Amino acid sequence: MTQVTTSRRLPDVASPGIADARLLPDPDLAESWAAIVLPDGMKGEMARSAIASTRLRSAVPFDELPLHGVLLLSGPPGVGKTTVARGLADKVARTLTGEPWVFVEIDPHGLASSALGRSQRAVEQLMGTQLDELAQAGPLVVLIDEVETLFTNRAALSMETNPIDVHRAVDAGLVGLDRLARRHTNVLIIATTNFADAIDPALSSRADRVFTVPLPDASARREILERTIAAVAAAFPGAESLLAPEVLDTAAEVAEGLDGRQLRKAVAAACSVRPGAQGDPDRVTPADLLDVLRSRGGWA
Amino acid sequence: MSVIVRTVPSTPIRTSVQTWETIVGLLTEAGQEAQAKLTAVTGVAATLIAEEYTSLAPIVVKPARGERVRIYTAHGALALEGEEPPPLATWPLVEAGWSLSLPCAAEDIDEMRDLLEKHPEIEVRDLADGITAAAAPACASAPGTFTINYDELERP
Repeated sequence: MTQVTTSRRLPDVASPGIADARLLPDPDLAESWAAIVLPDGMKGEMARSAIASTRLRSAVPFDELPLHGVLLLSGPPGVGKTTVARGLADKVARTLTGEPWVFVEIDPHGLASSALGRSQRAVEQLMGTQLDELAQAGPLVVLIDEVETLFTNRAALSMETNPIDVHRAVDAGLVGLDRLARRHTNVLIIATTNFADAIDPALSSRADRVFTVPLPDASARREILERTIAAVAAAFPGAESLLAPEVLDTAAEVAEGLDGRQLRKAVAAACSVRPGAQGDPDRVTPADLLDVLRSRGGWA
Repeated sequence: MSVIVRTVPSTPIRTSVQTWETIVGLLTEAGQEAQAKLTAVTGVAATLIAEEYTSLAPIVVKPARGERVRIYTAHGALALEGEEPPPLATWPLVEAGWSLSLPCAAEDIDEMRDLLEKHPEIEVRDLADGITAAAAPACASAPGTFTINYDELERP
């Protein structure tokens, strides 16, 4: 990792609402970007959107072009939204160089409290103080995973559950978001969700771009399986038989409808499905993999 | 120029000396030259905190570059109800050229100045003196001065 001389200080990951914080670029996040398989061109478009948004916001007044620097990634679980979001943060920092970037991942669950008013204060503290000051010190990428937890659709709340605190917390989050957007042009917010309908429309309308990440197609499934098997075979050479082109083609065909996470776990499951292999990955066979993919038992 | 504000709960949550140590920890990290300089004036700072002057007027930190930091202390019920201050986004004293101003009652100023004579970065001021207000600019952070690496952008 490049040694950065900076007075910038990372927030404490033990503080409420902060799940991760690091200086960018970061090799782990670069690996995330390289590892994730998305439909043709989607990763490139995400990167261009982030770069264009940052450049436009630094040059065009907000009132003329109200960009909030928010990219929203939605899609079913397991397709790699969080992984690509983390990788995208690194990609932006490697592309827009000159100042060190800070990456902060928000844990929305850490902001929720059953005490009245506590959630709102936690959101205000995070958005209005911590993120605002971090942005003041230099460029910043914020990842809000499972964003529907923080920006819950207020119209869908049951009045029987006393949702006042949730209302206030969402209000505080939106105010904080607007404040960040207006005060700082060097902030990029990447939000992910499995439940696009559960997000408050006020957040969706603030997103500069919404990317819907689909389940992998046959080509992507093949690539995911190949990468995963190659990683296993690097440690257990006996698994190399699974890398035969005809095996990968058939496996990708059989695995239709599975997400990336399920595909990777299928490779692990194949190592244990047959009693005779005794859980030894060196003894996994193409038939084991195809059996697991066809049966989808216990892991999908 | 904008200002960052923190309030540190003091007595009875922590003693005056512990309050100053908390403030030092907020501003500097271990091994930093400025930390030793701040620690060297613990006696003076803790005295001013014990007098609760720092609840009436802030400790003002002026970094060589970047935003000023104002630090208040809370005492009594306010300390009990207060929350711990979140860390700053920077280490403001990492670069030489900083200064720190402590509030003090007029009658004690001369004595405190004598005690701080060998500490040029640290001063006391009359707590009745006003503080220059800095209006928050429309855009708090400077627009990014980025260089675009198109090769990196095109790399898969």
